[in-house]
Amino acid sequence: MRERLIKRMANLAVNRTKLMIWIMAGVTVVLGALSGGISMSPKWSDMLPAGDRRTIEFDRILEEFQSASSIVVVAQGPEVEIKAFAEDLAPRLLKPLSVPGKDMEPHIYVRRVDYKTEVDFIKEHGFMLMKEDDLDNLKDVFQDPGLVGLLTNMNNSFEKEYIQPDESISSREEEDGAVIFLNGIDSWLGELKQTLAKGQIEPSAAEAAVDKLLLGEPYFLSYDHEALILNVVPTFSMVDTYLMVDGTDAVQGVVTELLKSYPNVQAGLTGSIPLGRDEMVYGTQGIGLSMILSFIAIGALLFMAFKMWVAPLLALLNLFIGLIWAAGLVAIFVPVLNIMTAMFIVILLGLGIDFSIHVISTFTEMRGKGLPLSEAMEAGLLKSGKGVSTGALTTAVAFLALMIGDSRAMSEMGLVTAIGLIAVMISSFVVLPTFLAIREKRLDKRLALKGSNIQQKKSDLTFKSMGRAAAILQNHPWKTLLGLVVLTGLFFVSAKRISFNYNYMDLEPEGIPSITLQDTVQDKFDLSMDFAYLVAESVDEARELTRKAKTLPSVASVDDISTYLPSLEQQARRRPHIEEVRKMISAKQIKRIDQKDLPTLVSELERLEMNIMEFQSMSFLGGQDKIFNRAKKIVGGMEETSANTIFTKIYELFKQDKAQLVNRLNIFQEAYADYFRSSVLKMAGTDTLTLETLPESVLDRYASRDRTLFLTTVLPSGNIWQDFQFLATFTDDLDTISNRSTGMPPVFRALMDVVARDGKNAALLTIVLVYILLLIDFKHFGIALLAMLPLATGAIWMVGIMDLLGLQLDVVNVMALPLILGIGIDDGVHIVHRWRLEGARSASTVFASTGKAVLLTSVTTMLAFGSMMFSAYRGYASLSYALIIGVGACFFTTVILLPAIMGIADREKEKA
Amino acid sequence: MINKTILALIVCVSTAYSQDELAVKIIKTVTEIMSPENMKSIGTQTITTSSGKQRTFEFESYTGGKGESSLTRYTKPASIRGQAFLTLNNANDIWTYFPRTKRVRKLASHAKKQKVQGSDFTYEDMGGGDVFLKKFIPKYLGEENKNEALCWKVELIGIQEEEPPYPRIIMWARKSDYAPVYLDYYDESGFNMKSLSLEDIKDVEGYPTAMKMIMTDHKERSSTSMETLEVTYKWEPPKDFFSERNLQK
Repeated sequence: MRERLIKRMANLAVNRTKLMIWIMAGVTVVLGALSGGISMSPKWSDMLPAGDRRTIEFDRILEEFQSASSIVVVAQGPEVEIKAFAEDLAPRLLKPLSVPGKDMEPHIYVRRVDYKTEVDFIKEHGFMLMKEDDLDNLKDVFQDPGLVGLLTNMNNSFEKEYIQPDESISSREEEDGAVIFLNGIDSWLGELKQTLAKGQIEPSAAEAAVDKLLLGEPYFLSYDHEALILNVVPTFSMVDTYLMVDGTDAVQGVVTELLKSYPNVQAGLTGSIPLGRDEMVYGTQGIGLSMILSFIAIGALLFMAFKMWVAPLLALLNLFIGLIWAAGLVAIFVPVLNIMTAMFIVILLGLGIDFSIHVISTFTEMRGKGLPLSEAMEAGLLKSGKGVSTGALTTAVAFLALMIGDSRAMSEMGLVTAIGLIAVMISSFVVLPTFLAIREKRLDKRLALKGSNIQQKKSDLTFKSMGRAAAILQNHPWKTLLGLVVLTGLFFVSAKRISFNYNYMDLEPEGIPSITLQDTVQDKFDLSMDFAYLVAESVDEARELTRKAKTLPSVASVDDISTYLPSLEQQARRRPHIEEVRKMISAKQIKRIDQKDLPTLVSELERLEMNIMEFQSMSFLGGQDKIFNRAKKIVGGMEETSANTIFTKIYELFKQDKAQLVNRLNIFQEAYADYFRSSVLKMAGTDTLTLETLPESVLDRYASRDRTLFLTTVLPSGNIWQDFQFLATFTDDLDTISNRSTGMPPVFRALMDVVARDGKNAALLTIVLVYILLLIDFKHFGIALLAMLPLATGAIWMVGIMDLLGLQLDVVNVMALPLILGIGIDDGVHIVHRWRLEGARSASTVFASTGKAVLLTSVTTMLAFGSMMFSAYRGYASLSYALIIGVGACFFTTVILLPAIMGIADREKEKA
Repeated sequence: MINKTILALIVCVSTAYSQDELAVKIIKTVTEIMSPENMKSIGTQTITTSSGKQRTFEFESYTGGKGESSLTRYTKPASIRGQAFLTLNNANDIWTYFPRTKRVRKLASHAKKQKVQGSDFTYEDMGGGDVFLKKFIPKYLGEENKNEALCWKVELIGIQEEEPPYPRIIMWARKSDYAPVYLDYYDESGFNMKSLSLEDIKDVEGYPTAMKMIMTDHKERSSTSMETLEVTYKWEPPKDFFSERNLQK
């Protein structure tokens, strides 16, 4: 049947050329139009099984929670300038924005910009949001706004806090609290110093200092105050792929434009949306150019091999049409590609060119023997057609075996590549013979017009040297086999040593802002951007999840709505403390400072300095770098005896005329004390906090659009990418408190597990299916096994060589292992087919002709896969290396192993 | 049949009895060898800071009264030279001296359960005495190889009224000399919160002495290493050595 079909194709190509052209053009136009419907999703969760709980939950979070899709603007520079930059940028982002380089109507891409804490809400409910222990510890600070009283109470509180330092400042949360406290003192002392120096103070400056003391820093500033974060909440989510690219580019455009006015500020974008955008844009960026280069290199190689310019041209044209057909068919079955399936064109480019080479190779060989066109076409197609169809079907079946897996990464990859491969194979039997027929007819016509009776010069295009080398191996089969076994053994040992790189960041493009800024955020803010999510159906459930998550060994911190909404019980326990604060500060009279207060003031300032120094010493011993560094800015380094600190400057200013000093101290006290009292009274609100009383910005951050679901963000305590064991611990820990945990860490861990399981199952199924197919094709158990032997050996070589070259397996290139089972089988199939055709002692002929085709197909496949090597997305590059090594390894095992086995088989036959 | 059952019961009861006896004997011996009357040593302590850097301190340490009192004075780096900690009454009273401000301050008594200067040891872990004997009931769990030595494995179950430092500890002590080589500390929920590995054990003046101790906090995923550079047990504390006044010297 196959023969009949091939003969029919040859006949149609030669005798019904025009009809074939019309059919081809029609199919190409239809499928080309369909291929326009393909889109791409950069979400890693799209590679998990569609019904996976983490995928469902992640998609639900993206849909329900505005805060789950964010653009983070990281500004770096001097504190004053980055704050001004933030103030300037935020309102600009809320306007309709244009996309640079695109002629589009301006569009509103940004819903909200968060770059300050919920100051107004904290101003009204600050004490209700404080933990009961902290309220108890700090309430004394708020009882007297007077300068002497405030300093004394601050010191008392410091020493009270200091009495039990380790428990209270051991965790990151508590360390942050201590840093905020030191920041507030620093700012307040700064205003005191300014007033003592100038004799005046702006009311706004005094109020800002009080706010910092009572509420902390309003901006999202880094610990060193040299970086600031703006959280841009978009009007779209990561699901909207095109908006993701346009929205990021629009925001980047505004940032770039504004930076021109702030020469000392640097700013860039990171967060889930810019990262997704970069994965899409940079992932394919390098590939476009390198694919063109691959096309050129493949063309040049074919030109050299076939010694005519038209062969490569026809091969590439056929491939191009085949790829359009493939893309059109893929669009019907898998319209949205994921990070893995997006590479299908490159894989088809590598494999599809092989079909053309085999067809052209045998056709030119037949023409070289002087056969007329129709006979040459039929004979050529018959010679290559069996190998091509068996090879293509075997590879397609091997790819389809990937569909056994649950993960979409693997199953969709299998489906997409199998469909595409069949499409390219069909085009090689339909399009290429037609093109070859047209070309030959034109040549014949031209020769006829010239009136020449001389036939075209038909040269011998086989690789004689390759044939000779194969003949040598065939004549020394046992030595060859021994060498091969030794080499394979060495590679096997090496293959067993190969390690797995779990670091997802190593797959991402290097040096692009969305990636490098993640490191900046980690360094400057001690904030990991790889957090997990938990969803609760009530505030109480969210609070309970947070409580449980905080007890987990692998959790650094947890953020949820309960930060702004304590339970009614917690509020009831805090209320008496708040009422006490209210009572104390209301009753306190603010006394004017007189000269007799000066010794006490100096003494309290010295006491404050000593407290901060001791705090610094304890933090040094305790390894609490953030506290140590903050304290160092206030009291100097621990070894500095005469540091020029804010305290030394204040002591210096205390040496001025006493009357003037007292006057200036009173100016300072008057400027801040009333505001301090009114702020404390305002913060001491005891109204019950409910969901309804929370500001919209808080609700947007933690609650779903309909306010029925609540998001808890969990940050891991370690680096989940550098330590897979920790990633496993973190995700296992989360599973103990909720079966709905999701986010990048759970998704990636699940992906590892699923891909490993699917890969193993798919590989086993592939081996069985390929063997069955070969058995049907060759109708001989031994021959079918023989065709598979180079592949089995090549797979060992592939992993062994990868290890020797210092490469590691990763979640992307691990896909090369099942893929190579489908790709690498072709070499053996073609050689064995030809060998059976040619008979005994035919290694020289087989390898000079089919061997040449196998060499060319291997090199062209490697060239095509090489195009991924230049992708900015390092995951694709790692896959490229693995496939190139795999294809190369399968070629070498084929051309070494098969001549030797052919030699042994021939000897056995001769003996018999 | 009945006789056989009675016999089996007697064997079981006597075995259990003897195993409890053995556990008490092991813990008594461990307490003895771990609580020399006095000790003077020089050592280093390496911690990991909150920004992930390693920081090493060198200190002189003195203990007296079988660990009931101790004084630790930092000598390196220069920035903390002279800072000292005094613990009295088995770490119930803790004092600290800051050379930079020249102030001595008392920490609250419950600080003994807290970590010592960013390390994974608590003040209580550092204290000696007969805490294992007084605050725990030992239970013999068998023999096991640990830290490359054949060990007794003993479970210590905290006596609630005695306020034990941990609800449960599992200890491995070498059969050859009763030197503890490994301890697992558990919290109320049964989580193995910390582990202490005692390594490079040398005989120093008749006492098996771990020259290296590594405490791993499984919750914080951190570890602290303490190494002993010099040690002697033939040291007599001068009068009032463990005092607030001496802390400032």
